[in-house]
Amino acid sequence: MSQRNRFPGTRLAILVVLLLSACSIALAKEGIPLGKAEHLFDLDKGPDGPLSLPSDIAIAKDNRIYVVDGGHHRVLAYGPEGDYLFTIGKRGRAKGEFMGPLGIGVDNAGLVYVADKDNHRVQVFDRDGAYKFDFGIRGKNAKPGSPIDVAVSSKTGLIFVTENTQHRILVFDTDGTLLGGWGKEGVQRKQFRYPGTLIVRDGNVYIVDILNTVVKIFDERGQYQYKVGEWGVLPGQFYRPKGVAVDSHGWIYVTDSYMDVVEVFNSKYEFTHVLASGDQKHKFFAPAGIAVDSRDRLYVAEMLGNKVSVFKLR
Amino acid sequence: MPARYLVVVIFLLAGFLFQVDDAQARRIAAKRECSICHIMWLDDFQRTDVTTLIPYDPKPVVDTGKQDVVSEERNCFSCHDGFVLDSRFVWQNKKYSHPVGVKPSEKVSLPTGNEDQMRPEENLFPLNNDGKVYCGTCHSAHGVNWKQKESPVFLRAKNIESSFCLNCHRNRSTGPKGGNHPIHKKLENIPAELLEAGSKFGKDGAVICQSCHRIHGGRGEKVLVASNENSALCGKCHSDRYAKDKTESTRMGTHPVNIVSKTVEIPEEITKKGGKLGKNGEIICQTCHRPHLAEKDAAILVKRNEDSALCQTCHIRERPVKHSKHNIALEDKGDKNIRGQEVGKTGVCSACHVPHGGKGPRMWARTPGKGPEIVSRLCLSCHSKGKIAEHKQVGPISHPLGRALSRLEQPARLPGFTKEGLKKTGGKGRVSCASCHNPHQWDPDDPGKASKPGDPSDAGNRFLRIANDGPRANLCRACHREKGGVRGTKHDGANMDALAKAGNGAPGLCKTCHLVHKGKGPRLWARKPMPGVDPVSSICLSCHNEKGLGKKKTIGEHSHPVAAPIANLGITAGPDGWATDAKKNPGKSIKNQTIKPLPIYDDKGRRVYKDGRVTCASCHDPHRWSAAPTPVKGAALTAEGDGKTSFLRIPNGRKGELCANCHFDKRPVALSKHNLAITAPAEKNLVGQVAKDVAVCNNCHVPHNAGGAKLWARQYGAGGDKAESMCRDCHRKGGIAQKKLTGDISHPLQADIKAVGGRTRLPLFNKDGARKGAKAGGRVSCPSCHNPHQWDPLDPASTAGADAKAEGDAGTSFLRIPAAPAGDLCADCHRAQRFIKDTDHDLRITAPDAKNSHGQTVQESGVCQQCHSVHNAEQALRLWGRKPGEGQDPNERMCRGCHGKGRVAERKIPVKKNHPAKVQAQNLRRRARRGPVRGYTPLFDDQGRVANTGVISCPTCHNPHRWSPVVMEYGPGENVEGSARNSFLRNRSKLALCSNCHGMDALFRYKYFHGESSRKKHQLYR
Repeated sequence: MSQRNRFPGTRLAILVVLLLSACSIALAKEGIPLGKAEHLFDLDKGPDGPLSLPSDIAIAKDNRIYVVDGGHHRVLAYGPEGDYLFTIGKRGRAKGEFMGPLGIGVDNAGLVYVADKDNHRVQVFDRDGAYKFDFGIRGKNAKPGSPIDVAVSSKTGLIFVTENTQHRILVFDTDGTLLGGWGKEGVQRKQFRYPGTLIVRDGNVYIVDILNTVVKIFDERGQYQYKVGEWGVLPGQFYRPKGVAVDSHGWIYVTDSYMDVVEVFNSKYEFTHVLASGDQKHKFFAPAGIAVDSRDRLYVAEMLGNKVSVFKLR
Repeated sequence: MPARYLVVVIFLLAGFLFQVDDAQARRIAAKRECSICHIMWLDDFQRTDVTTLIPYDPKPVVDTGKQDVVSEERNCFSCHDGFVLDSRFVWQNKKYSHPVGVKPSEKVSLPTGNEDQMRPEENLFPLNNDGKVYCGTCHSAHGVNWKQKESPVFLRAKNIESSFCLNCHRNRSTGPKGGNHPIHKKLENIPAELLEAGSKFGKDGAVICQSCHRIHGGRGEKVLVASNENSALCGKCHSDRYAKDKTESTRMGTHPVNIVSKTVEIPEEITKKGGKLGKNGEIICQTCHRPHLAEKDAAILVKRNEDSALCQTCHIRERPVKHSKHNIALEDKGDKNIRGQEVGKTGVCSACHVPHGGKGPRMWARTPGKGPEIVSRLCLSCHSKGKIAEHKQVGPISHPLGRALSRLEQPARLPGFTKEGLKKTGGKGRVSCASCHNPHQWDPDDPGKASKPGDPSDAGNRFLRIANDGPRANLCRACHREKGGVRGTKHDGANMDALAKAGNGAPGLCKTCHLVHKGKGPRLWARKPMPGVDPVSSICLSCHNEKGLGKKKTIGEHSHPVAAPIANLGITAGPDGWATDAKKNPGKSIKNQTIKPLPIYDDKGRRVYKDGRVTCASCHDPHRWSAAPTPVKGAALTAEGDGKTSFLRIPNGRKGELCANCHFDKRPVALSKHNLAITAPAEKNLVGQVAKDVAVCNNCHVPHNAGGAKLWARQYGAGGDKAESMCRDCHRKGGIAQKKLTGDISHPLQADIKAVGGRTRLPLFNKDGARKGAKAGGRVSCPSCHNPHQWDPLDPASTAGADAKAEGDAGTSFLRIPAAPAGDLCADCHRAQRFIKDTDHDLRITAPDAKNSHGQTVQESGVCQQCHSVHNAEQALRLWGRKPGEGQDPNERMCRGCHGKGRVAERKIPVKKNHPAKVQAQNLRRRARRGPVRGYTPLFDDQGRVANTGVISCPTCHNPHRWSPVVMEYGPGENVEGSARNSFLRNRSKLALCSNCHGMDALFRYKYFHGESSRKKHQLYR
């Protein structure tokens, strides 16, 4: 007993040191997990100079690249290696012309769908840029709508359009006939606050819900499946999510246009890393639309960077 | 361990885990909705165990300065990038956005709070930590109530019809009186282009700040909605005042913009006061106007325009108008322009010009008069009856207006004006009053010279651009330089001062004959024109008559015709020059010769370029004594003219170049014996001109004071008509052409062409020698067959006849058509005889070496003249030109001349003797009026002439000029044996010829006479 009490202060001191050390280890600042991607090239020039506020990209099956050059009210087409091919449209309200185009998609047949926002319509072109048809988008109270993005199901051919005056997803038949839709303004699962870009992949519709700061996943009938991300500024969280893409492994890529990052989630919807080049997270400049091609190349539209950055993922 | 220690440890650990530092302050209001903008309010930034994707930096230093992150533009763009709200235009044309990152200038005044507020000293529109304007100066999510609908939210104050702008820019809302562009004033027609560009207008289309300015996303400097380069934005609304160029400005009646003036230099005073020029120095709206902060009461002009002060700041050259009669205020201060402005109040310029909304070119401020030329109509708005300057009118005959200056031979040194009224120099444009007059300066040589209403005027002032009096008289010559040659000639008033006073009493170089205004006749004639002739000639004849100033130089009774269409000569006149009519000009060498266009005129005396007529002024240039390159100067009043002078437009040299210019088909005469300089150089014409000294034409013709028709310049010889008489003046015994007489027996003249069929291409002449058709009395005369101006009818350039000793033949000899080798000339009238060609009677076929009585072979004489002599024939009957043979009657003797022994046709002598001569017959068939009809068998009297009763002779049965009686065609071209179907017989029908008398026996009789073998065979004739 006396022996046990011989060094009571010493034992206490040792205990405190050990506890503090353990706490220090436990409270060490957790870093940002990074995943490297190889930067290949940038698409930063059109036929007559730099791009202006490029907002979205669509990649056709043959890896032809279509970029919405929104500041110039047009769509630019590039070859798989980034060689400029042709321009679709110009500023205007006639068929084949655009006013503030924002989102873009392609279908299996190579048709190009453009969300012609301020003309309140979706215009459809063939793979060589020839006008095919268009269909109007109605918004809140049947007023002209504001189509943000458009995507086409490779399985059903259905056309999905995000319309943000009524915060809704509209579904159209292949000829542009409105079939229905889902969503309204709100924070619930089937509600949105400014739905942004969307993609359709393997029967699932991935929709960026901008101000709810998540990517929501539905089946093509509009049934809620899952979500990716959450509100915040930590890794795996979003502040201004804008673009979503899925690669050949089912991994999900989400741009954040304020924090200037691309965050990556695995096929189980778990955050894995932030896209990096070198040892640092790659800092984009207001990234928005994003796409992955069949070669697992990642395309990121940097609106204020006035370019599309192209990376090799694997 | 005692429990108390354990408590201490737990507290220490808890203190470590939840260490609190200055982040405590950050823990306020970490509500998610606030954090949508206020990102730095997120709690995660306070955590030490995680690394946020962006660093904590609540007041970063950005381009605009140090400020709260919430108002940093990246925060704005994260929503306004189109995906939530669309303000992409802000970033598209960011350089044209409202300035940020700068300290407010002295021109703006940021409002402060009022006393009722918590902090009245603070700006309602805060600046950032650096005192600079930043996004948050104007924008806040907490300013305007989100529930209201009349104004945008996210502003610190409401913005109703640009009221927000005026919070700071109060000094720009004062309207024109305060030196600012009006606002809250209704714009009737809002340009769609502006709305498309983002312009906004107030209630009922009122102009507001945002009509011109777009705070974000504009496309021009000064945050304008569109580029205002060269004031283009101004022109969107003020399209009636914004001309794209000078031409359009004249059409619009507005001050020109978008031009770099060559005559007006914008003085520094203007630019100092805020006037601007375009990017290349162009005059633009803002050269005169300042839309903001202009002088008070200056109507947003850069300078007040009292008494036209602004106008005259730039328009220095026009300043003298103020001290001239054209300052209408001197006449009537109350005179009003179209805006109702009184000149006495608004200034000298305003009487005639308004900067915008003028009536016509030059921003005309009055109602233009009527007239052919647009600028002149401006002058006529005063210088017309009932107008303020009606005492200074130009009269009905005045200098022409609206004529193109390019028509002048030399570029005018005075300005012309386009049809829109645009001033042009260098010989371009059209004539206007302002071509000669500078309405802004009384004395062309002294800008300071004043004039006032009632002051006398002369040619040295009168607002002329160039003085036109005395030795300075250059105004007329500034355009009519080619007329300057009149100086020192007989037409120079200085040479005839005394006489000139009898004219208009105002002697002077030009004024002697012309009055620019109030003229008395065509060409602004200052004298009384001679009536009865064309307008141009009438002014020449006003002097050149028996009582006129030029009475020594009258034109006489027979003079070159005037008012004759130039087309009559086969000349096609056009603006590009003159061309000859190829049909009338068959000669190949002439065809390609150039013809110099001479002035021609219409029936009103105006010079025209096609369908014109010849006048005195076509040949004469009254302003130039000599057309030679070096003008003859100082030709005195008594100087006698010749072909090189005499005011001729083209020197009329030996070849008669002036005459031949129009009478181009007469040019070959110079190369012929009819050029008396060759054949009779000392010969004088009627007016005493010696052949060798004058133009070839003048040998026989003079343009004025001629002896008769054809401007004949010689005596008339004997003859049945004037044309023959002209020829016979030389071609007579004792005449200069006595070697070339026609003889006693010659082709009949004054013959009616009807006798030989009535058709010919050759000219016929009446008694007076005038060309007339047969129906109009035209008869055969010497020039019917002869063209006295061309030796060789086929070659105008032939010089073979340019020799006194040259001997002509039937292919030359001034014939109109060659008579050899074929008889084309003769056949042109004697058409029934033309079928002799290529028959046995065409001696080219049967006797090419035979000679007629003149010793000519058929090649020399032609087919016809082997038997007939046109001149100097041996017998009158048939103008027979061969040696006759033996025979019972004259006709037989002619035939026997060839069809006789030893003659050229001895193989064709009838074996039996002639048809019995004792037979007398009466021809029952009548000759047709135009010659023998088919089947007509002529009888002949004892003189060999065709008669209704008479003897039968060879030509009774034979037509020596036609091989076949049936087919009207030329002969076979070779000597062939004839038959009863041809053989020059007149007919082969049963009703004619032999059968006419001998019935069925005719054929046998024929053979009896003509065929020895057949005669022997037939039983009747054995």
